[in-house]
Order: sequence, then C-alpha cells, then structure tokens
Amino acid sequence: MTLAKIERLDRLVEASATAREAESGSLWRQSLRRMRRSPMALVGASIVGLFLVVAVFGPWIAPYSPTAQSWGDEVFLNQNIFPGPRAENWFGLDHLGRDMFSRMIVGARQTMLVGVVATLIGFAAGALVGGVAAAAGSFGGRWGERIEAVIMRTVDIALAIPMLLLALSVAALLGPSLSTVMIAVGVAQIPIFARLLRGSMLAQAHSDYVLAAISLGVPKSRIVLTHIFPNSLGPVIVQATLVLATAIIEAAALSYLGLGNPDPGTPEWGTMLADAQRFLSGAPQLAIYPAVGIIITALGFTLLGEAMRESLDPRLRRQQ
Amino acid sequence: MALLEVEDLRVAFGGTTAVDGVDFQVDQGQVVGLVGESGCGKSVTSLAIMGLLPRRGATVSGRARFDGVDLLTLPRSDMRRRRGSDLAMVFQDPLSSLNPVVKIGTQITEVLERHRGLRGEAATKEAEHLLDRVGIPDPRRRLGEYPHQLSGGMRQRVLIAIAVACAPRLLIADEPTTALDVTIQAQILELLKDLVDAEGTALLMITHDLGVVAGLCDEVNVLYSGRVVESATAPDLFALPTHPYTVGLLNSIPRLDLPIHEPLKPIRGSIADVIRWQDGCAFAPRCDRVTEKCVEGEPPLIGASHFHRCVMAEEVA
Amino acid sequence: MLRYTIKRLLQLAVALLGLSLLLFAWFKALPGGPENRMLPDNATDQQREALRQALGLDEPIWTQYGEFLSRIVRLDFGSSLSSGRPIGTELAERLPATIELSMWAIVIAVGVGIPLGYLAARKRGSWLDFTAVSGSLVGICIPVFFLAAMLKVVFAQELAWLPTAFRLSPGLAYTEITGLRVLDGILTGEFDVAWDAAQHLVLPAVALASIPLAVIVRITRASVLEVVGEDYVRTADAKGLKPATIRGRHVMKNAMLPVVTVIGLLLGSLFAGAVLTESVFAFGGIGSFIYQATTERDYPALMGFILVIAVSYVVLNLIVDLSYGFLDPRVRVRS
Repeated sequence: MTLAKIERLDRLVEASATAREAESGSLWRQSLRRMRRSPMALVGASIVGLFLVVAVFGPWIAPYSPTAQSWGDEVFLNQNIFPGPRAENWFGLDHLGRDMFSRMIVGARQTMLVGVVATLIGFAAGALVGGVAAAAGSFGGRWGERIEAVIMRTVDIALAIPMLLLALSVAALLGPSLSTVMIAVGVAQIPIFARLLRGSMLAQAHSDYVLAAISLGVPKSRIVLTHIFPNSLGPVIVQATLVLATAIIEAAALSYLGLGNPDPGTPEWGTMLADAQRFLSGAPQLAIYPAVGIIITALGFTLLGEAMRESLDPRLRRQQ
Repeated sequence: MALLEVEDLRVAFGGTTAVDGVDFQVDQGQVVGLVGESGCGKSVTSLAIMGLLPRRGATVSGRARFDGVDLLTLPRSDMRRRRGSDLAMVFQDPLSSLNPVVKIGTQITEVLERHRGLRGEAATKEAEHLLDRVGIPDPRRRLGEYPHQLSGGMRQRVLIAIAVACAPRLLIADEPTTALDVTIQAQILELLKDLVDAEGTALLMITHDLGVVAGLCDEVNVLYSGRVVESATAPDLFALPTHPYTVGLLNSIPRLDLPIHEPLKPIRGSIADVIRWQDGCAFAPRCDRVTEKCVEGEPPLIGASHFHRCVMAEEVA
Repeated sequence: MLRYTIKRLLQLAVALLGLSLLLFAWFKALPGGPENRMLPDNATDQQREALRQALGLDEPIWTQYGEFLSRIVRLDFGSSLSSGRPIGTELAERLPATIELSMWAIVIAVGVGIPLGYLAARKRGSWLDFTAVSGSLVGICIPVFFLAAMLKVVFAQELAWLPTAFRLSPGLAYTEITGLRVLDGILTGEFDVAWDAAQHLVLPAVALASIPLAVIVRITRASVLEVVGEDYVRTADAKGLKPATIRGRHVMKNAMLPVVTVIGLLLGSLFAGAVLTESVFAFGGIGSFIYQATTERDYPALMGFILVIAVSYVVLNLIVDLSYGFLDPRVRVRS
C-alpha cells in the first residue's frame, strides 16, 4: 500500500477516460458497435445475408432449371395432383411440373431485384423532392419557402392516398409487368422518403454547426451538399431498409391483383404466391413456400431496419 | 428521537453502486441539507427513502427509520399510503414533473382525495386554498388550466402545493430551484422556508448549491461517491470546512470578498475518477493532499458533533 | 379550438382540390384514353371523333377539368366500363360492407392491441413481451391476402368452423336499415341474421386486423415504456396514488396520444387491405368491386374508388386530429 498503488489507480482512471473518449468516435461507428450487441440486428443481418447469397448465386445452386417442365407429364396425367416433397424434388412440383425448390432458389433474385429497384426509385426520387424542398425552404428566401410549401403540400396529398392504391394507379397507367410492379411500388414510396429527408434536413439546418458554418461565410450550396445532406441520411437509410420489406410484400399484393407478369420467364416469389392462390385448397404448399420466403425476408429487413433505428435514435442511446 | 434516521443506506444498480453506506438524521422541524455534485448519490438517496426506485434493477439495503418504522421494509401498499401524506417530495424539473394532459386542479385534488378523503367542492376549495398559500394569484382560474399555461416558477409552486397538501411531517426537496431563473429561485426557497416554519415540517434539502444550504439549512451532510464525507451544523461547516472535498466545493464558488483577479479553484478530475470506499478514500484520485494513508483501507467517520471522513484532516486544519 | 378546427377544414379543402388535380392528371395520362375502351377495335376515326366530342374530350383542358370537378362534386363518376352501371351507385351499394368489415377490424386491432401492448411494456423482458413483440414483427411481414387465404383454407374449408365466403348465408331473410348487417340484425330483432353475419365477419376481420393490430401493439408498448419513465409518473407515485389511478390518469392518458395518431394513419393501409381481404372472401364490398375493376382495367371505376378512399382517409384523419386536440391540451393552444 504505497504511492505505487495511487499511481496504478491514476493509470486506471486515465485508461478508463481514454476508453470513454474512444467510444464517442463517429456516430456511425458507435451505432455499428451497439448493433453488434443487439440480437435483433444479428438475426436480421443473418437473414438478409443468406437471402443475398441465394439471390446472387441462386442459378448455380439450384439443382434443376426453374422453368423446365421436366415433370410436366406426371402432373398433367395425375389430374393436377402436385407431388409434395420427395427425394428428387425437395419442395415438390408446381402446377406445370417444375421443381419448386429450384424455383424458390432462383426466384430470390427477382424478388430482391423488385425490392431493391422499387426502393431505389422511391429513395432517389423522394430524396430529390424532399432535398430540394428543404434546401429551398431553408436557404431560398421567400420564393424558396413558397416552392417548399407547394412541394410539401403535393407530397402530403400523395400521402393521403393509401400506398397500395397509389401503386395500383401507377400500375394501371403502365400495364401489367414486373417492371410495372417495381415502378409502382417505388413511386408509392416517394412521398414517405420526401417527408423523411426534409424533416431530417430541417433538423440539421437548425443545428448549431450549420449556424456556425453560415456565420463563417461558407457558401449555402456547399453547406447543403457537404454538411446537411450527408448528415440527414441516417433516418432515410433506416427507412430504406424497412421499405425493402414493404416493397417485397406490396409487390406480391400487386401480383395478386393481376398487375404483375402472370408467369415470367424467371420465377419471382410474389408472382409465385399470387399464382398459387388458384390451387390453395388442393395444394397449399405451392403458396406456403413463396409466402414463407417473403415473410422471412421481409422480417430480416425489418429487424435490421429496426435495429438500425434503435442504434441511431439519440433518445434510446441515452438510456444505455 | 429523530424523525428520520438513515443508517448504512446502500443502493446498487446492477453492478454499479450509487449509494454506498449513507448515514444521517433529520429531526422534527429541522432543515437538513444533502450536498454534493451530480452523480454523488444524493437524488438516489432521496428516491430510496421515498420508495420510488424502480423495483427491478435497483438493490436497496440498510435502514431508513421514519418515526421508528423502517420505510425500506414496509409493504408497498403501506408505503403508498404514507407517500404524499406523511412524507412528500418536490422534484427538480417542474415542467416534466407535472402531467401535461391533466388539469392543475385534478393533479392537486387527487392527492387530497387519496389521503384526506376530500371530494367535489370540498376538494376544489382546499386546492384553491393551497394555491393561494403557495402564492399563486387567481387560484380558481389556475385550477382549470394545464401545466404548459403556467410559468416555470408557478409550476414549481404547484408542485410544492401538491407536496404540502396533506401536511407531511417530512418534505424532501430534490434540487427544487435548479431548473428555475435566479430571481425565481430565491422566491421558491423563501416559500419553502415559510411553509416548513409555519407547519413545523422537517425539510430534507437536496442540492449541489452551497449558497442554498447557507441560507436555509440547520444541518448539512456533504456526500461524495455515495457516502457522507462531512456532517455538521451549517455555521460550523462554513466556518471550519474539514474534508478536502468540502474545502474544494467552497473554493470553487465565486466570492465577493476575495480580490477580483483571484482565479477560482475548481476541483480537478471528475466524479467518475474514483476508487472503492473499501480500498480507501474515494476522493483520493482528485485530492491535492493525497498521501499513502488515504488508500490504506476504509476511512472512518471522525468527530463528535462535526463529523468528517478524512484521515489527513488534522494536517489540513 | 374553433380556430384550430377552421384551419384544419381549410387545409382539408386545399388537400381535396390538390387531390382532384392529381386524379385528373392521372386520368388524362391513362393509356389510350377512355374512348378506346368504349368502342370496338374496328371503329373508324370518324366514330372515334364523335365519341370524343360527346365525352367533351375535344374541349380545352381547363374546361375538361372544370367539368371533371363539377361531376365529382355531384358524386357522378360516370359508368363502370364492365357493368355499365353508374359508379356512384356501385360504390354506394357496396360501401356499408366495407365499412362494417373495416370497423370490426379496427375494433379487433384496438381492443386486442392496446391491452397487449400495455401488458408487454409492463412485463418488459417476459415471455409475454417477447411473444407480443416478435408476433407483431411477423404480423407486419405477412402478405394480407395470403393470411386471408390461409385462414379461409384452415378454418372455413378444413375445419368448417366458419363460412367460407359472402356476408350472409344464402336464403336468410334480412331487413336492411344501415347496411351494417350485425347492427341491423340487432335493431330489427332478427338475431339469427346478426349471428350469421357476425360469423361471416370473423375471418375477414381477423385477416384485415393483422397489420393494424401489429402496429398498435408496437406503438402502445413503446409509448407506455416511454411514459412510465416520465417525471410526472414519478410525481404521481410520490403522491402515493393508487396504482389504478396512476395507470389510467397518468400513464395511459399520455401513452394513448401517439396511438391515436397511428390509428389515423393506419386507416389507409386498412382500405388497401380491404381490397385484398374482400376479394378472398367474396365479401361484396368496395374491395371486391375494385379487385374486379383492376383486373378488368375499369379505369373510371378505379378513379371513383381512389377518390372515395382518399376523401374518407383525409376526413377520418381530420377527425383523428381534432380528437387529438381534445386529448392533448397543448395542441389546442399551440394552434
């Protein structure tokens, strides 16, 4: 028990202080660290990871061609009795005698494409609309405020139309196809992204560091592009993750309403699910496989998005 | 016998100790201060006495005898009957401490109904009288208003009215003036003092502000890292601060009687730099007068009427 | 409060005008235009031009918009391309079914969701909390039409506990008052009708309730968790109030504010879900009609439907906002 002990204590204190400092690194790194500890994020990320692997490598993993009606005779001759799981076809056959397992594996890619493209459309267009509105409103003077008001009122009106109906009306304009589904779901997401980015940018525009930058004479366009916009993306990216889930589900609903391509060359889960409704009482498995695929994938993206939201939310952060 | 006797009170949240063996007393009609910087455990101490700590997550041990009855082991329903009537509390932030969607009147009458059985017009009359007593003009109209329609000082007056509604024998005030403007602070302190003087209520004043203590308290307990490090009557404490932490607190206050260019002397480090009391003085890592003796085990509470917990105190004096 | 209401009503009028503009633009942009749908493929250009004139399509665009506006104000949406009947009549006939279904779905979602969310919050970390949270996550991810179809297969077809389709069993005599059949049955004393209609409602209402239920559970839970940590709840506890008073007056009154807002926003997805659910159960509401209109590209019918849904959504949200003003005194003053 000497001075050495005090020195040791001092070092300890110092070490803990530096540890605290390191912890307060960048916002994103902090969030990432918190997410690594959250079981929700881990489950979500694993599901999304597995889905992405299947989506990318699907055609090489699948044991058979997803489109060849290799067992067609068997299905047609047996008066539409679709064999269930068996050794050669793990998930059984569909109504045209195609291997369900291969269709599920290969279908992941189209499903992912639908989700990603729809989300990108909504994200890009919404970010543009919301970003222009926020920038105009914050820095565009009186005219800017008017522009912002017009844009945001239009967005509010579009928000008043339920998303599926918005998608429905867009799909009605374009005629049925898979790209219609992507565009329709994407367009339906624009108002949400626009609202979100504008709100987030306005919050940034009123923060002290922006005030500081203005008072230092940094050009407004530069402030918007290099400070406000990148710092506002957090909640928008979270939303994009959640929208990916919605997009996959909505795409299935549009297919069910007959707006997707009835049986495209390459399989897609939403279309498969919609098609299978015809055989539901006799062969529910045809619907259950793609449905479970959609539910689990949507769940994965939702979990990941929720975990991201929690790790970015400053109110929740304080509680930890 | 003392009205409230706190003995070896300990509170831990999970693995972290917030209160580490606090002892103090409050006598009938006395004003006692509990002083320390944020994180020293003073608020947790008051919440533990009131039984307001979350049931899950907080482990409380020790004794807090009120009139000889240990509040810490009292069944929850009995404790609930005492809260608001025998002992009441005023909180720090008057805006967030009042329910934003319930009328002021209801927030006062509900406590009258619960503990004094007053209902209807009788309760409204009494609430009006209470608001009048805490110095709110036009009380009848205020009863029908919501907290956001009142100013900060007024809200704190409402909270005080709620606290004294059932004439408690002990009033705990947790930093009641910290969230208020300086001019309002003095008014609120004055009000509290008048109320406890008039009713003979004992007041436990929790604060980080030694100025508040000097103006209000009979006895003072200085807390550091969850333990009382000095305890004395207010005049004694200011005349002869003994523990280096108390000395440091006093030195870090701006004073009018010192030369203008004399710099303030803040205490170095932060309250997070501690060692466990079992190993030595928790203040040692921040103390200017630290020696080997300071980390040779738990420092005892020394003294007859003016207590302190510093093994080097004789040398300091 | 009055000024707040007037302001909200003005906003509503502007929103509806904007909506009519959007819809008009949409209608004009439809491929081919309506005249092609109304004529045989081998029609001559002359016939085409005659029809365009008859429909007013050769007028200047703002005259057309004015005409469009005055027609929708009179609830005249034209005739359905598939049935040939006026769309206003088609919608009016089917509206009660959709209202009845949506009402029950909301009753289920609110009645189950709020207590469940509250319990999950109070028993945070328990198996109940875990089940409620994971259940609501899954609930959001299930395509509504799939859930409806599976419920139908399991409970109506396999177990035969409940009817598979329609609003009443065939051959049951029924007196119409409000069009809400359970209510009518009770009003007229035809309790067999009320019971039968209720049985027909169970499966579609449960399927339709799935998403609102999931959302309400989550919002209620999050909101209660936030409110119980508020200072004023601690104050209420420090007053020694009874747990029931604390729960009702101090926790739930505040925790319900975000839930009310969300219920308003959920109405949109509820109408969309009604389209899908009704088509599965051949429920005969607006949803079934619109499913048909979509698959047959009956644009005027679609437009009438979108207008009706958007207007009711906007109006319902106004009602929600106004009721919010009553619940939260801060909103009343801020406006």
